[in-house]
Amino acid sequence: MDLEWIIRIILFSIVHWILAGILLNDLSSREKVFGKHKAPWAIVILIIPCFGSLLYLAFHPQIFSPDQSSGEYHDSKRGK
Amino acid sequence: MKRMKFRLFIIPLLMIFCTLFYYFGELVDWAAWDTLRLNFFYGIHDIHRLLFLAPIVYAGYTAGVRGTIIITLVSFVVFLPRAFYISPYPDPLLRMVIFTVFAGVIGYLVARLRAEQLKCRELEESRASQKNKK
Repeated sequence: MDLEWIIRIILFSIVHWILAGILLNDLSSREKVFGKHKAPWAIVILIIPCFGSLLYLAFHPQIFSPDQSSGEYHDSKRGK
Repeated sequence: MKRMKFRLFIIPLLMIFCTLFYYFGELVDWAAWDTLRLNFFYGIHDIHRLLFLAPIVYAGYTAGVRGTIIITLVSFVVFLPRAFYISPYPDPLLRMVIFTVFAGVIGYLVARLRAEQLKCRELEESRASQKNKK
């Protein structure tokens, strides 16, 4: 196999596993998920490299919502 | 509440816009929109890639370090097809990786700065409330 292809596969797998790790962590800590079942989402994230993660992100944009440490959440709580 | 819900979709919408802009040349070719065929969309895509700084920095500001990492990696995934199959210019993968690393670092620093700013604000507020009690 060409060296360039090996580099491509390694890069792709690094991105896949980092994204999968972050999103599986989010999935495990989330109480409600789209479709109510967590297992299918975990399978999608793991089995479909990168695009499964993108699919999960598309259906769970709350991951980008300001959490308790973010200012906008605090501002809205304080009514500013 | 509505505004809060809309905010959730700002980053995904920014990403969609940037992706469409990044692959606009290919989109024009595919859809045969000949009037939109501009040379700008067929050159080297380093400038087009800069547009992705907007969602990365915004994610750093609103979603913290985790959001920045996610958006940086998603941007990287978006760049990959051009680097693998489309770009005729030399070292597309290397240029893409360098940009992604720098953009990620910028996003991370923005996220850290924002976190510090919030911590300072919280401390000031708790100090002010303590003073008021006295």
